[in-house]
Amino acid sequence: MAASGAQQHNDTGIGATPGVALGGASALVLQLPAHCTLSQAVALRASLLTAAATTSDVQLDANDVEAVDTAGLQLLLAFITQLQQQRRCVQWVHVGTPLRMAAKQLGLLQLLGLDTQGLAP
Amino acid sequence: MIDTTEQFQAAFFDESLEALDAMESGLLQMDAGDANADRINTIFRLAHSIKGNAGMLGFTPVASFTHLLESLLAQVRANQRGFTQPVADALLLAVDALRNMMIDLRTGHGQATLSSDVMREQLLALISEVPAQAAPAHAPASAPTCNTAHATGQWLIGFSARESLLIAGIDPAQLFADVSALGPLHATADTAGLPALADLNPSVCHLRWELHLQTDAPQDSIELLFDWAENHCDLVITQLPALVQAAADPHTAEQDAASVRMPLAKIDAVQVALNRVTSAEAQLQSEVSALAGGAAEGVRFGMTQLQLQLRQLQEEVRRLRMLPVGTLFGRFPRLVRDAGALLGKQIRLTTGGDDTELDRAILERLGDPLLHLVRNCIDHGIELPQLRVAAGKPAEGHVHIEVAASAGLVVIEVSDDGKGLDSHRILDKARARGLPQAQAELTEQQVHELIFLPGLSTIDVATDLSGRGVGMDVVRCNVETLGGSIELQSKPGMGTRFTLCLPIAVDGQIMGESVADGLLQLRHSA
Repeated sequence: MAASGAQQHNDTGIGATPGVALGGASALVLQLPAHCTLSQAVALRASLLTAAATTSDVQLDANDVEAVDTAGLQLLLAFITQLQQQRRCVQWVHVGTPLRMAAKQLGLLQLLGLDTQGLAP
Repeated sequence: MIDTTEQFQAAFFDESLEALDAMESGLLQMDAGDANADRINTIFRLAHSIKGNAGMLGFTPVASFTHLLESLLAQVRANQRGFTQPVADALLLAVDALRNMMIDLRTGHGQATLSSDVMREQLLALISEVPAQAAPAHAPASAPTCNTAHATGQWLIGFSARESLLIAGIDPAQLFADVSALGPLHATADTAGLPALADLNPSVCHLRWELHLQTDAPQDSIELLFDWAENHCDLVITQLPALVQAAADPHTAEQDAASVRMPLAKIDAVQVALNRVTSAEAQLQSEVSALAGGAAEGVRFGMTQLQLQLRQLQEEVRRLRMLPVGTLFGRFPRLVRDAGALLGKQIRLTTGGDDTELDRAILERLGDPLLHLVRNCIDHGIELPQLRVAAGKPAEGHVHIEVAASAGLVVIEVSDDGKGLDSHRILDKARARGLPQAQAELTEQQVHELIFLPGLSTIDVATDLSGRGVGMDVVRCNVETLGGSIELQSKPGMGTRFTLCLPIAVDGQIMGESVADGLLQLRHSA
């Protein structure tokens, strides 16, 4: 599913776009940064917290992601877990090799919903 | 880049330079075509530690260069290539380049980069000779080249990150990728410790893993991949389902030895304080001696006890300053190897009494004179192989260093089985230079001792090896400054022996001058 609507980038460099249809409802699109790594972890956490504070479903767009490490995946896992607990939908789009490989190495493919490209509530 | 302190960096440089010395020594102990699996493992482990620590401290070029060195070692280790002369040469040159990089980083210079770039190309060329499917640097030993516990099959690895893991620059994703090079790896994450997003400290790894690994690699190969994370994780490696055939690892005892690195200046500060206490004790002793009356006996008894404890403390501090003389010999095998190749000579170096301990202050001053003596043996003493054979000697010359201690003195002999000193030539040169000591009638021994005079060299042309820089007069001067003496004995066709006689420890004045910025490694049994 492609993102639609104009994206608004906050100061963390992570774009958040409302208005994507996800499971029939409007979803927030989170454009993940190029480096989902320890060096960017504080900014990534801040963006994820902002997104978690909404009530929308979320689409995670990994199109720009070039590097991922354990710190980044751990944050994404905590974010997704929280959304699941809130019975909100999470969908992945444009997942590239670095993200998938890192998740696989850490045994997190399923927990992150990357085996099915998404998680239902 | 991870923030680091100067203190961590200083420790990294010291430890890495020591590790490079050990790598060099290990490489020199192996003959081309005859790689020793234990030594290769040890060298690999040292390189791996340097790479890990360099990466952790943000010295990426060092980590990257070490990775190449490690890759070449891994090919040898996995029997994908032999330990040939070109490989041995390349590894030694890579150690040199890495050492220069360290020194440049420590001093803030950048000259080593160019030479390391050249060396990098050489390493890459060698590495690329082995087909691409060969194991990468972090995929050691599927071949049974180790003497340690061997296991075929399945391994269960429990991996729990400590708080420092991520900050230390260790990424479990990368670590597990390295492990997966040994064989199929399945990771199962335990997320029970993962806090809510709002409570999550992003620089701490809150996850744990159970890794299921299938590999024929021995346990130490698996452990090796985790060794740079050892202080930042809890690790349990279990073989499934068969029993691990534990074999005694000769390195275990070494690893068990606990040690603490301490700047020499700190020990000197203790020594200075102790000297003051000793002075105060002497003053007090004179006061106590003058005491009279019933209370005096008790004070004298206490004074005696104090003096006994003080003597013991002085002895302990003295021992802290002592280091094995063998620490000086580390650079000689490389010198002998390179110089032999340069001069076309075959030379064997042996040492004895390496464990004899000397004061660090003496060791620091003894290094250059000893080096010069060994160079002289190689350059002037040992003959070319064909000349040796023609003289009825083995083609390979022999240089030997023997150290022995007794009664507060240490005797160091540096000998060779070469051609010996040429008395006529020495005398002719001394007279040609108008040295007054050479004008009288001299015995052969007296002629030999002329080489200790300033300005007299027994060769006409300075070589790359000796014949310039420190002369024998400076060697003698250095030795005498330490309160020692040097003698020589030489027989034509039989060789030359230099005998240095030195005090084991030095007086406070010399010791006080030596503090500089050296480091002592103190060891005790765990």
